[in-house]
Amino acid sequence: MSQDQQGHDEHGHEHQQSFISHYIFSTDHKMIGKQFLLLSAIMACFGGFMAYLIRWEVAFPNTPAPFFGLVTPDKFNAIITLHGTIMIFFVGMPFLSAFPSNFLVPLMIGARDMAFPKLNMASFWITFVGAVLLVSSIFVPGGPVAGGWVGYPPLSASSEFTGVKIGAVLWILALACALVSSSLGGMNYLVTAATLRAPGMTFNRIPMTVWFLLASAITFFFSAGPLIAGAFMMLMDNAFGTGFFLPAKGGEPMLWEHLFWFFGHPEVYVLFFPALGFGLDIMATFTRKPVFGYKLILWCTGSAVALSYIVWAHHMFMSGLNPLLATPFSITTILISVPFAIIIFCMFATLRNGAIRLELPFLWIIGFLATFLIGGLTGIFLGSASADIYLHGTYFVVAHFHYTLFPSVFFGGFGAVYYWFPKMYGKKLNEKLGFLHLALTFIFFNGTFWPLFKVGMGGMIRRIADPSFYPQYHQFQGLNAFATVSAICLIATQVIFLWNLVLSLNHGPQAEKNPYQSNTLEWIADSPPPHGNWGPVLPVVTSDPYEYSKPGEAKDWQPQATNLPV
Amino acid sequence: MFEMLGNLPEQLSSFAGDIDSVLKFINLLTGIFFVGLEGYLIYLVVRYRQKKGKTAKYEHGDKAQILWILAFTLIIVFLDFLIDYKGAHVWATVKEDLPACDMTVQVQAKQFDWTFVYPDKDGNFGPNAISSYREFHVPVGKKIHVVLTSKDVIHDFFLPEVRLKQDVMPQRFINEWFDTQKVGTYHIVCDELCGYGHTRMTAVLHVDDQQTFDDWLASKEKEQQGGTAQ
Amino acid sequence: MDKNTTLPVLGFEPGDQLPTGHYSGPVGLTPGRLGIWALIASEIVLFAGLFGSFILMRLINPGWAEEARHLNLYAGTLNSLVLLTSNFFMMKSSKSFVEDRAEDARKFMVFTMLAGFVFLGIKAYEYSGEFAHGEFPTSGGFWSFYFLMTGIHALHILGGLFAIFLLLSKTRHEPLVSLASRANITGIYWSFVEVVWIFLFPLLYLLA
Ligand code: HEM
Ligand SMILES: [Cu+2]
Ligand SMILES: [Cu+2]
Repeated sequence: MSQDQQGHDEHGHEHQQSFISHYIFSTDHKMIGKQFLLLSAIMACFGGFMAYLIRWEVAFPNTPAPFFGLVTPDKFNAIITLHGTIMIFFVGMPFLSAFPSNFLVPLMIGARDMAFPKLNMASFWITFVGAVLLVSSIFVPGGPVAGGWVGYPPLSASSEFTGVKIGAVLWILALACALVSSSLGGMNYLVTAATLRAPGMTFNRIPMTVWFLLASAITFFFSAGPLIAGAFMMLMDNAFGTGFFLPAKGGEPMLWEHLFWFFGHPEVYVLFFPALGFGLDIMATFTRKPVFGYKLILWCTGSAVALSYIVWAHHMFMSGLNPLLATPFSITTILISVPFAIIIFCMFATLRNGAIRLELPFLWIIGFLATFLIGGLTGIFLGSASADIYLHGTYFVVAHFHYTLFPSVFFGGFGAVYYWFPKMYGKKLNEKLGFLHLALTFIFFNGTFWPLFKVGMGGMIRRIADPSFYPQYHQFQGLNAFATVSAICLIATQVIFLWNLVLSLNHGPQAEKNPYQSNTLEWIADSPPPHGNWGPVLPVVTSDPYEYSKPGEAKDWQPQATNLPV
Repeated sequence: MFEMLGNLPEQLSSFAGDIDSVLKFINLLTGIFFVGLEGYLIYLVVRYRQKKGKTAKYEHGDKAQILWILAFTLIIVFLDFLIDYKGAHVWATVKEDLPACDMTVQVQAKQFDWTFVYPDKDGNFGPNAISSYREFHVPVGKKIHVVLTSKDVIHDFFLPEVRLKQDVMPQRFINEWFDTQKVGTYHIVCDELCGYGHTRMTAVLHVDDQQTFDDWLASKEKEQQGGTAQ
Repeated sequence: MDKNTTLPVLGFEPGDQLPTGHYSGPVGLTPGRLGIWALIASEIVLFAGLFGSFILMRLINPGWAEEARHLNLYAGTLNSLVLLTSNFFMMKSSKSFVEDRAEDARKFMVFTMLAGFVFLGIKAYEYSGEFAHGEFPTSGGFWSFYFLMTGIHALHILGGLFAIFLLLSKTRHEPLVSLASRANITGIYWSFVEVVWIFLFPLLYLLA
């Protein structure tokens, strides 16, 4: 049995790092994780503000929005585009993939850091540059890009159609930064998990969070390439006047649609997988039970990753694709629901016969399940090509994908934040404020998006700045106003979390090492873990991650490594 | 989820009812699963709360339970396929097979309006073709063949009452068809973001009886010839 | 290699504060080598997207065959040979690292880089010839793809040259053996860039 004898130098903590190398150009995986967290929080403010503007304009068209002014149609288009791009690439990706992968993967597998700490730092700064480019596009002449986050050409490929040139170039560059950074990050997580696991951390002892973060990284890894290629073409079209996607110059817009959705569909799993991983770990801890069907879940995840690459055309049923292709893609879409159904049922089975502690992170995960379920079920409407003839491009779609993305990002993501916060900062978050945050988020989230199913079923199309122009939509004014008020409350609710953060970081009670009596390795490290994570010796893993309530044991948990004091 | 189908616009085409019945079928199935699964979730959380003296059951997934899960999943897959099976003929009717139509109209989209072009007397879309701006007149009961094309960016031709939707691609001609069953005026909207004027890119679908339609077309033709003669 | 030996974590400088970890990867692979293969995997997907798009568009536009004939086949062929030679030098250099022959390692690296620059020079010559004929990236689909694909490839060559340059400058301060793994990785990447060209060349020049 090998342990690293050289160990971590004990004087490491006294070793004063300068502010810059500690907080800014840090190569410590935990600090980089927190940097990603902060970045996603800042970008969420932008994305949230834009969500407010969108909702305001839809419910109260042609009335100036407080704190902004009138949302004119060109501004509206730019705002939905920025909202989508920011939420997916600069909130979802950093918050659900980069932050937890950085913070948790080395801790949960018993490593001291990532395999390539410098690359890791680079990947953060590339994302940062992308975010700055995107935000700065608001201020350039011509305004930001306004072609929708899917960037369909010709609209998004030439300033001829929108009058936006610099903004479009900045948008593509920002997209490229996000894609490259996440690819580099993914490579890092994969190599780390492959090569730096603590002694005894065999494959079937890896916690679900790590597995799912890796699944997310792999899914991203093999779908981003074509879109990076597409982004190059789009860039040349916009910046140099080539015609890759412009039919007038012999190009083909459908090519972009294929490249985009070949990435776009897997991307929704990139955001969904991490939430599943957190969910399984948090459930095991609070049900005091092993995760049900560990191996089965992994097989399902693997097949979901594989299938995710062959369903993309279900986003293109109305695009003029050969209609005969609808059937094969409907079938793959049905097939991919199989592994996810099994995983969700395994979660249910984990709850069954448990001794559930109704603590805060657990309730966030239940909120995740309860809402995501609606997203999954409504997906069946859209996966049916014939129903999609009517529903494509309506608010039904908006409601559906927010019911998949929002639960993953907010319920799953906040579940993780509340759960691992003590490990991250050594402080506990205030429970009461946390419950309030959860309850209000749950209520207002449903209040925002449930009405949109009805509005969409009524035929109201998305991405229109001025519904008052459409007499047939006047009947939905009430529902729209209700959704908007809920959305504003939903956004305002997040202030509770910020307040909680400030309060708990300053006055919160000191967190124990392992406040939930959880098994996985990160709970053996100090809270917060020091540079190098483990002190002089590495943990030696001796058991599976979820040995809770094992009959005949004195306590109902069994840390994965026993050579270190818990 | 149950009551939202009430918002569907009226059914104008012969296939509108078929599409709605697919929607209803899916709505029913997902509604049942929604109630069942959410209910079960709440039941599990409440029923298995931690209680004094009771510990959780140490189980990793015994065969029986896994079989239950697989069986349940199989049912779901079966229902999924049932939905697709039911939907397949609707899809084929609307999108795959172009029936013999009574009339062909070219729909030209550009930023940010619609032009509907009717063939001249010889059935050609030549210089004598009759174009109508933002007003789409069709005779009731007839099968209309529409040829969709765009001059600039991608638009989307959406007739909510007809339940027809199709992206309009630049420099391509996409063939679609529909019919109508009731006289009246209905909506045409653009359902693909196409620029700052997208929000107002609408048109009106007039379903006329044959006589009114013929009169309208004749007057349009006259108007146009008068226009070119000057 | 014993599964349980502890390896220095690549990516750290020797003076770095972080200590070693426990190596759990496949026998015979280092994190660095695994990393480079992962990088190459992601690059393969990128080029697959690029090549796939090209092939698709090429099938739609049979007229492109005619335009492909305007490419400078001689320059292209010569460049393939240049890259091949360059790879040969890099292999030689990697070997010298293992055998601890500093002079050779450096010499062959310089040769590798020279060949790389010759490649870029010939490419530039080709570009200028095409510009002179009035063929620009904006001169239609084929030319857009041609310039994009060769341009992206040239960027990869530049990246590879930079990596080799870094390695070269390191040999002045560090013992060769400690750089052997890094040389190996750089070599793998350099061969990948070569392989991309091997696919690119027939696709653009020969499918006329
Ligand atoms: C505060 C919560 C949110 C509200 C109120 C909100 C509201 C909206 C609305 C109303 C639209 C539709 C715009 C239209 O089609 O006219 C939209 C689009 C979109 N949202 Fe959100 N959203 C929220 C959070 C999120 C989150 C968390 C994500 C993803 C992680 C997200 C991703 C998107 C995307 C991708 C689009 C499509 C943009 C486009 O049409 O190009 N949103 N959002
Ligand atoms: Cu999809
Ligand atoms: Cu439009």
